Amino acid sequence: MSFHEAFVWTILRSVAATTLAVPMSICLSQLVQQATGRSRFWWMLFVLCPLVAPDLIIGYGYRSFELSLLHRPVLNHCFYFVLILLKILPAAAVIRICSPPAPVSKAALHCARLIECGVAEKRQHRPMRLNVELLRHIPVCGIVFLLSMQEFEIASLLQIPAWTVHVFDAQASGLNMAATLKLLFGPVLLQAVILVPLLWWGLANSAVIVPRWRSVDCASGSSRWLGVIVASLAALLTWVIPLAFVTRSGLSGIGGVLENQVLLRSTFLDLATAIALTIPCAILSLVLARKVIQIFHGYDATQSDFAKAVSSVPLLLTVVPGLFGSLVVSIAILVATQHAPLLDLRTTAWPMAAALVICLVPRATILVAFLPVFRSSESAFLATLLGKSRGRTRLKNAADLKWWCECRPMFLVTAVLFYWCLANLTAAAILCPPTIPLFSFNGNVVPLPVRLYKFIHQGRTAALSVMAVLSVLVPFVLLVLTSQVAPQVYLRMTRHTRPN
Amino acid sequence: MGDMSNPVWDLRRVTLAGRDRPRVHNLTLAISDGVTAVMGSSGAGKSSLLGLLTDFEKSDAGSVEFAAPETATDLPLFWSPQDDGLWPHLTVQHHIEFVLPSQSQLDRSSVEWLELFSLEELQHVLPDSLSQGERSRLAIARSLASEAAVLVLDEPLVHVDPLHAHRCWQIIAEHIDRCGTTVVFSTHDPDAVLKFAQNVVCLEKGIIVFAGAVNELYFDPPSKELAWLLGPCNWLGHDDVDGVEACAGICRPDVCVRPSNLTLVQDSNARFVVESVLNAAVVTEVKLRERESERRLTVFLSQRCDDVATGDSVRFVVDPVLH
Repeated sequence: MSFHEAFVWTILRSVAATTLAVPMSICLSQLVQQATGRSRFWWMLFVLCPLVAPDLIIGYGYRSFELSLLHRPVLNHCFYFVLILLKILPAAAVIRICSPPAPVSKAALHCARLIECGVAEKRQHRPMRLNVELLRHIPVCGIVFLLSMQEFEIASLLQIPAWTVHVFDAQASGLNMAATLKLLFGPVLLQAVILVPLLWWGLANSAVIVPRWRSVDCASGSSRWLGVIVASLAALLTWVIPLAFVTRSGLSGIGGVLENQVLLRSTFLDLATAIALTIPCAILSLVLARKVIQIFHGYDATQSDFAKAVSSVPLLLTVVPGLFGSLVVSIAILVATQHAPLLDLRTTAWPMAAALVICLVPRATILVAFLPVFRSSESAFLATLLGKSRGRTRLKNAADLKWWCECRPMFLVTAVLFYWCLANLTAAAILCPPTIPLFSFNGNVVPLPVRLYKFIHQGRTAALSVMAVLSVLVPFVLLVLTSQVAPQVYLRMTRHTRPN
Repeated sequence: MGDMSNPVWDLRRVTLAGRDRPRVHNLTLAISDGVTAVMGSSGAGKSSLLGLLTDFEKSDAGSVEFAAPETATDLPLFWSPQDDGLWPHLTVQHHIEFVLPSQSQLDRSSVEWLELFSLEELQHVLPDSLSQGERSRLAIARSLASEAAVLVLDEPLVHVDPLHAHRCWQIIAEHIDRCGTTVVFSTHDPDAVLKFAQNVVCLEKGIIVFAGAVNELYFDPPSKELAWLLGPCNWLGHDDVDGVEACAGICRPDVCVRPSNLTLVQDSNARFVVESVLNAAVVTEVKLRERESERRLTVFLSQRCDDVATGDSVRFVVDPVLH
């Protein structure tokens, strides 16, 4: 299949995914919005877990299954389509939860209907009817289309024709940069066209992009069941099944892997490298996202249009490049590092780190908007007021409340960003230098996902499966341990803190 | 504001920026201990002022100085924000337990606090399962249970039904009497201000338009708009009042006479004819027409007007003692 055919296929797939994602994301968002109390956290975890499912595990897990579909390309296409749709849907649900309500409420529309008595009035009210939901769909459609179009890792592993796979393969096979950039022109232009209304929506609604937990129409029974089925299917296909396949394959050869000290040592070194590289990237992207949100909230309605445009430039510069996806960002950085004065950076990890941060910033911004960590929160401020008490019990309670209201959401955001950063194969595969001298180890050290990605195209082995499971399990265990230790450390640090 | 023996807040030329206009503009104000109400129409800047007092909002210009009154409590200030500021992961009972002082003046357990506010059946419930009224009651219960020296309450009990609200206000008043708590609260409810506050601050578009004693605003308001903040009032001209001797020295042109100070008396020679009488629970509204000029005016009375009917001729009598 030629590049142009693959590009058209990608567009058709993205349009289909967008069309289906709009109604399905309503069901998913209602599941989260209508949950109350302690159950909301579990519903959120259940609905949003596909967002952090590593593409490497999904692609590798379905490798044998995909091989059986090689002679049935239509089925293979359908399977891939379902997979990416289910993986993208939670993002659409998050956007829907954070979107401001439609400018024309359903009650306003009903009031208009009550005074309709002729064709003329009906025609007059038509734009109002469109306004009810259309404006809420813009961000959902935009994000789903972009994510679906930018998908590369799973398409590559399942051998699905996509423009991203063509560009990556062309670049990997030594196509000159000018030709690669020429290939990128069409997709980048199309994404820019999609991004314009999306950015317009973001800037217009900057002050009101917050999670809406209660202001939601009641979901009907069938809509709720559809939501549960979709969420279950997504969790099953993106986490349970691929992880089960990989684990089963790994268990059969775990004895051999444990005996191979060299393999174990290099695996843990690669994993440590990946973790050491991604933690600062996740934190930096969080800091930048916080700045973006601050610019959003500092948006002054009294400013002139020119002043608004000027003040939104840094915001656009921080968020927009990452919205074009890992592949475009990585190739852009690769091109930049092939010319002076960045030529010396080519053999370092800096270009890869830069790409990871740039790609993470838009996601981090959405997360920060979703969990209003950095906004002035009355609940958190009341904990601060309680902390001005001279009583020891109330001081301890205040520290506990501050952890819950401020630090815990920040920890959760950092954890998700860390996982996304770790799972970003595209940037790592394109920009990773031959070795990263992080631990003064003389051998060839690269982040574990990069090494895995290089090998899994050659088939599934027990050793590879063990490495793949470790690449998911070790960071997860580390996060769980940190989540247990961090509150204790925080409370210990603040125990003797006295207010001024 | 008034003669202040114990100033708690001193605000000097404070400005708080907003999206369209400053939320608070060049505000200079001192608030003493006791109970102070903050009034004003929606969007006047009441919540912004309260946010500044608690230090939740940082002023863009000017200074806000706070000095907690000397009391036995170890917590200088607590706040009940407009959105209640409940802690989403804590149950109703834990909300109270978390703020209870180790050495309480009141010696009241968390369950007793919940019983006072009729929340005992909800003690194990998380905030997002509560109704708006229950959330408001919990926020107030938590504020009182903290036994802070100063409480800032942003439109307390606004979502609470009248029966519960009345009871809660009584509990707040008892708490203030017993603990000597300084309270600043914002409200649209004239009754709450008249019953509980000694001083009142009125805001309009972020600017103070009145700061002084509640009685001063009630009986001698500077304008019709401000007078309405404390409920209905009658703006009568000197000539409108027939009982000249009764209000001599009191009634000046366009003077404010509160419903409780005004009576209508039937008099066949009087200038005004009753056009309609609307008897309501608290205030009766009577529409009148002047015989000679056909001028129409509406008066408010605090008693029912069962003895006055449409078509009757009436004159006003102002109670000089009350006034």
